Amino acid sequence: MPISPLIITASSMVNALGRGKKATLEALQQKRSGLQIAQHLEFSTWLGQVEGVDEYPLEKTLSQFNCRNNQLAKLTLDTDDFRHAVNQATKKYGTDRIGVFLGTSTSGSEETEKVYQQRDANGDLPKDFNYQYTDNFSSLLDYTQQSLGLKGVGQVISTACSSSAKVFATAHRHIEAGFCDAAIVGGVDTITEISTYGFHALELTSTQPCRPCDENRDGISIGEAGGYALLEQAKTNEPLHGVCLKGYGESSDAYHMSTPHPEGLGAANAMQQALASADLNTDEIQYINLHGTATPSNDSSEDNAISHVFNKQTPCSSTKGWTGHTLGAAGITEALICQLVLENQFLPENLNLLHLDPSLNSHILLDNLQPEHQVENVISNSFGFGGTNCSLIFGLPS
Amino acid sequence: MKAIYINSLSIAAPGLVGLEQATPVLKGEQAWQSVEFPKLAPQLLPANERRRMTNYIKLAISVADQASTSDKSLGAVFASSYGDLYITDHICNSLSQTPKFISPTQFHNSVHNAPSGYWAIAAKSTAASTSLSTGDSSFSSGLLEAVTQVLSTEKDILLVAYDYPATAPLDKCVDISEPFATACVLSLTKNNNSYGSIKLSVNNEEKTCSQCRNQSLNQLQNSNPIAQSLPLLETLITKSTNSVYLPYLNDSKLKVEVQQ
Repeated sequence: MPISPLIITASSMVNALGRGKKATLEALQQKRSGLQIAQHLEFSTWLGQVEGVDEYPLEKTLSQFNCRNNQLAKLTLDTDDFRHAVNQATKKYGTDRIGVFLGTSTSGSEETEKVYQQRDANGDLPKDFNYQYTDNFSSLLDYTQQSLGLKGVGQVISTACSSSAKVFATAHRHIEAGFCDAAIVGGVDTITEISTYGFHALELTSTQPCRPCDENRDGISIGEAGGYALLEQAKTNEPLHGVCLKGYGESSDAYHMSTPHPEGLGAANAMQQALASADLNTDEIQYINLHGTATPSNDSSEDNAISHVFNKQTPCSSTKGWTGHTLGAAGITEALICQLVLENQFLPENLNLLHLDPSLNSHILLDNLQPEHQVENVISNSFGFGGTNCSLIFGLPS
Repeated sequence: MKAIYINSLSIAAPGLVGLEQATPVLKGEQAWQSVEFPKLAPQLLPANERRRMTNYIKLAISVADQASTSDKSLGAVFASSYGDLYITDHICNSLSQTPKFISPTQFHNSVHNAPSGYWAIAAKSTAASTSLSTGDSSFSSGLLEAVTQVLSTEKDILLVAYDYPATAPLDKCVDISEPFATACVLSLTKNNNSYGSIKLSVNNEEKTCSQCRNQSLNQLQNSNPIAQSLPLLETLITKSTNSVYLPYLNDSKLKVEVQQ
């Protein structure tokens, strides 16, 4: 069923490419990756780390939320004039009518990792450890709401690597049902040992900067990122302006906990639902931002899904060679890359690709592209452990 | 807002394992007694899968299975305040050893949507599924999310809410003393088993949350964030008309108007 579009009226992003949308855009245009070799792990891999997070303080009044994940949240809220836009929106809608829907996979779990190293002789954790305000998933929501002075509805979605894509669908439903008038969506995920050693245990971390769609790809480069977007409804009788959320699709693989369906059936289902909700045909989509993690199974499964839904001409690329796989923040990071694509009419290549996997059928972009025809609509894929799939369609007003 | 019907219910908690055991207590005909919670073995799962699962995951799957009697392929909302604290403890313990090593199974079980993923596989459901938390108000947020999904999809939605106590040392950091889970199927249409309809609104005036009518349940209500649903479950089981106030974000309340 077609949905009514929501306009992205403000957004902010921070990742390994730097602070702000401009830093990400420039890195994409200059083909400059943010990945660096890991310094503090017991195995060799590359990471997409954000500089300056540890030194970035929270508000004194919110110091109980102090953890690296919330520090990255504050850094992101302070970027791209996002707070100013939220303040303007708050005047328009009121503090209790703007919903906040955020994704994270590990929230502030780094704090729990740290205090386990500090257990006393009885095995007890330090007395000042505050689980609720740091590790717990809702910490990111509570911090963001209090930092922005908002008191409306909200949620943290934690569905592994689809978390901050699904927030767009949830926000749309809450606005449609009348529980809020506008929404802030986003996601923040910092690199934790749970993620690095966990993916390493599954033999899914790359020993090189990740190479999505390459025949020699050997896994992911874990990254960290924050991103927020303010979503508002179009005013009746006024023409739309700006990049819009036009459609969303969500599905489950029902196949395996840590391996995607080999034929990509769940992913194809999510893309088809997104197209239906945007009321668009496949030939009206000019770019696909792949989930493209660079694990052998993901890229092959996703390629099968795309072949199932799209013709082979639609340009595709994974941008994880730039940012790394930012896990619970991947959805919002790539949604905002899609915003940059639409605003700047520029398609990013599939960075780090040396030898295209000959078994892939999709049209993978081997070089940055200034398209001849206007890019009006793009689709962004996010999939995760547990077989969770989400596809989002963003576009210019039609 | 359109009224949304609650057409199926399930519950699992100490002394309230399944509707048959829970109904007389929720109706106020019997006092609740603190008894040991049994080991659950949801039969929907193959035995080898069950062995890989934690008590937290089995708790969620059990109530999901019991609530979705007529259709297991529904879209689903999974709500849990704290995630799987047993896994958190094990992984953080492993990471404090030298060399650091995480079990691959424990890692993929550590994602907040592990119960949702196992449920999809066991139920063979490819429908959309989400996994959320808003801390102590996670049941309310799950109910809100499920209602918005029923309204937007015009299909029945399965809500599953659950939390399980931590072992030491995390038990001192997290205020959960008893396992508690509940699940229900929400629908635009009333069926023969319907427990009534609900309408939701966020309320900033009401200062206190509803308490259980059966006062012997007060201890259980405060033992687990999801057990805050008990006053609503009492209203639904007795098929009463009543407004229930549940904890929500920023000290506000979720007002649930139940009608028959």
